[in-house]
Amino acid sequence: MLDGRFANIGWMQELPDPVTKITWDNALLLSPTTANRLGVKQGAMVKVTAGDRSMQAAVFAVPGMADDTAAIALGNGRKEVAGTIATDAGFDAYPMRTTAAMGMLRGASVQATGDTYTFAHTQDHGSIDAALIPSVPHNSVQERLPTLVRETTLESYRHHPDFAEHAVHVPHRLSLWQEGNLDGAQFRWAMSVDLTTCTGCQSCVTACQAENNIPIVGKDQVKRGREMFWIRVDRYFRGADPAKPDGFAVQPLTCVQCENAPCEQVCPVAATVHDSDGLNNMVYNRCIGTRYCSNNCPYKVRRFNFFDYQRRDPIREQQGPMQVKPEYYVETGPDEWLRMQFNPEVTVRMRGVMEKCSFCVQRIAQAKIKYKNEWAKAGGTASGKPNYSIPDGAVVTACQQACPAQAIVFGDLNDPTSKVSKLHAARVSYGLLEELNTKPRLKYMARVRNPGVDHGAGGHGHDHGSGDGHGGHANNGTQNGAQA
Amino acid sequence: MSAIPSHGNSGRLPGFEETDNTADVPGKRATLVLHMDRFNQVTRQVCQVAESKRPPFAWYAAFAVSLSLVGLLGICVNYLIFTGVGVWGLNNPVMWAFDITNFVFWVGIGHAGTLISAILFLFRQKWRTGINRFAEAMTIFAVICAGLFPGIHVGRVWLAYWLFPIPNQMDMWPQFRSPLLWDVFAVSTYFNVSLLFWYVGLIPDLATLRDRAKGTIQQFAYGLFALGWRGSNRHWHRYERAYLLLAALSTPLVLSVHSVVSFDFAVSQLPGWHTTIFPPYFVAGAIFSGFAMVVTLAVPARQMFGLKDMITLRHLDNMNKIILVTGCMVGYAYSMEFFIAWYSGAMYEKFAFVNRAFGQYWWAYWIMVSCNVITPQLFWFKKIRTSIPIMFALSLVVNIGMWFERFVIIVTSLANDFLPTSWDFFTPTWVDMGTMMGAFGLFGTLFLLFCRYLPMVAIAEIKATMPQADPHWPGYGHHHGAGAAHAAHSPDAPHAP
Repeated sequence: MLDGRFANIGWMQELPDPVTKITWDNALLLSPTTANRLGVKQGAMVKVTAGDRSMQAAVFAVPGMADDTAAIALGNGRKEVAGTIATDAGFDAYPMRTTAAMGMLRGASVQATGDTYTFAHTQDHGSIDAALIPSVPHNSVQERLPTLVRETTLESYRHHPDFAEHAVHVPHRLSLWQEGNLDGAQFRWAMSVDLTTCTGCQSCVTACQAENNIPIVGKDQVKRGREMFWIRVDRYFRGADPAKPDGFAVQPLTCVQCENAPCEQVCPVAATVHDSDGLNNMVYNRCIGTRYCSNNCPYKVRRFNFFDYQRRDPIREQQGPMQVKPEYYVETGPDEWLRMQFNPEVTVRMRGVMEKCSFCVQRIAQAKIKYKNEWAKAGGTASGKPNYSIPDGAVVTACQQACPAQAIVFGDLNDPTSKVSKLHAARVSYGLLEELNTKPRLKYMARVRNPGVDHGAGGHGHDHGSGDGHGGHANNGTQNGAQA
Repeated sequence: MSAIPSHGNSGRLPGFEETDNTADVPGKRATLVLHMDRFNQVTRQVCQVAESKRPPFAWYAAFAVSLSLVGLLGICVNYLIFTGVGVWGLNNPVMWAFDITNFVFWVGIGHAGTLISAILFLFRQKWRTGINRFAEAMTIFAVICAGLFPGIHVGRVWLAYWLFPIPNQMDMWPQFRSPLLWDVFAVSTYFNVSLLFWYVGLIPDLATLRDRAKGTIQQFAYGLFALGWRGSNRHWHRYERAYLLLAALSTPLVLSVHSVVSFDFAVSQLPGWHTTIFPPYFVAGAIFSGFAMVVTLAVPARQMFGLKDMITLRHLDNMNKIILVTGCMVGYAYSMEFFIAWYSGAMYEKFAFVNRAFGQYWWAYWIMVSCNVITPQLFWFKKIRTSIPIMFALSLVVNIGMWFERFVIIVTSLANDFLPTSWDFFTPTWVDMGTMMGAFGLFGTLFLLFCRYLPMVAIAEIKATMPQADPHWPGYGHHHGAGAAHAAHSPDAPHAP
């Protein structure tokens, strides 16, 4: 939001915070230990007082925060006429800010008001207190984390360069079905994501939203778990004690375009099918919305249009689910310009259909048309076979284009010299949940860290790859006043 | 033969008083029709419900409640179709919840009817005749309720017909590898065969009602559906053959339908769904819930319409025994699931089951276990098996438990699957609740209409189980009991052992 000037942009509001995964709000962040000591739960409203200044905000305990410290992002909670989206979204921290110390405040006290507030976050639904209470799910997350986000230290990597291959041992990979034969395909599109360079900034998420006409759904729908992002950045805390994590991991995840896709086998109307390039495509016109594909997707990257999100007024909270304003589709009228925001290359989806990442199939098609034309002009049609080629780097997906760390690489596996071919062949390259025999086309480069020596003193997570990466969060620390 | 009072007990209200006929006398067939020695007593007793000017007050009360719930169902379904599936509480990992829970629940309920009418028929279990008619009706109404949910739960209802293999201008067939498609075939076949079976069984009784009817409308309506039945020897012969064939057709369906329904889950690769025990486990569960529903309906129906001499305590006792047996099977399946999850050594599999019992839906799991495994154990005691209020309460408990079983399987598995970052929690909305209750209303409405206008007990069939139907019955010498409206037909005439 920066200082609040971007607060009226729906994409900004719905983009989850990289760490807390809160959308449409900011929150007063406390460490779980401090929150427990103050006796406040997730979402408890508190009054922060420092001298004669005070503000109210809702608490969100986030692992990795320093104890006895509170932090809140500026730019939210605008009360003036800021637009339908920004008004009342979050809490205004400016009252606490003085010229004496612009980003810092000492000696504040925090007191619960007794009210509660509901956050809409895209992760940890239903286990909102997971950070505060060790539980069955938490232990299981820790058990599976080493196989999901494979990482090691530089020291260990030097001795075991094959560490990523051994995270999961799978003796048999048998298929119930005759698998689709993708041999001899002209292209084999694939993606590689480097977990070492990814900072979790999530600019890929918004880039994808802009490219692929992905609607924002509003706070109430995010609360229901219906955000529509085609790419998401998963965040994990590592360590047995949820309050004091040893580490932090992020993992961008799109549809991995399984070669042996579980979603395709269960769709009763064949609305999700493979094309000859190995892409797992959604046929929106054919989809009737049984949602079985999503249930059978181990990555849960499929998104369902529960309502006509594209037609709904993109305000923060709808007055009941009934409210559907068909303003985008009126032929004439003041809002006709709103239709122009859509990417004309991408279908706008109606309610009741499933959607998901397409590997920016429209950009692939554009490149194909361009290079096929050139090939035809150069007399290639004489051979009778469309044996044109697309140079590596000619197709750039939206997420790849936006990634400031260049962690995302896209290309053709049929070209052994392409960057993605080389990355897929690397020893640290692994497929997420590949033990399920899904044969994902998206592979990760396992993370290799080079941690510094822990000097002991602070002791909390020293590994915040992303702390403040996106959207101008200013940490406005209050400190030390927490009353036990 | 058994001691049947040869003349009606004076002062006794026929059909409204309980008689304990559960005692087994070695070497003797148990009496299944009490206090009747003439076939037309059966006819009169059954037909009086349809012929009475007005049904009992309780019928009106129940009908009003059911019909109001149908109204609620209409509101909810219209709201859903006009607004979007989002009016339900579904979210990203939990794409199915109440919709498919209700679907599987109702399909399960439907199982008892066909089991009673087909399998018990082939096994010559004569006690089935007291309950088969309304158990079959229950099956048909339950399958109607079940069919409602897959129909309305899709995102674009107006295109749901694409699930059927209809030749079309798109030149597209459905995708035959999808278990949802198998469902379409399994459930529609089941519905059609059950309906045919039920209707064929009804024909002689419809003819009875036609012959007894006094009003023109009744004569016409019953006459139309009686298909000109006159009760000739040839009619009976054809009828018996058809009935036997349909029973043989239905028998594999009892096993196949719920197996196919279980494939919706077993064929997927979701931990908690991907389980080879599902087909037999689902069939046992379906019979379990189906019999519980038969008891739930039989207890008030026999009370309301005075059928206690035909749906006797012995019938209820038998059904409670089946509930006990299938309840134990279901309990075995629950524990075996846990064992296999542990034995598999698969991390996700183990978690799915531990999470069921101790995760965010622990309460649903323990409701399921206590209702389906623990409380039915009370049926080991004969006192409880033959106590009307307790068996009624227990049957309700089993219904609740079996609803929760489906909820637990569907929702807990979906809510916490492979990647912890997509975990979520399903909370139903009022539309979820309204649709669920509305389906009960639809079921109740159809069932109450059936009770009011059609013979609740198979008149022709039950007569064959009476000792008087046996040509060697000693009473023939001095008493012509067979003078009822119809000749008692006896397909497998009881040559008493």
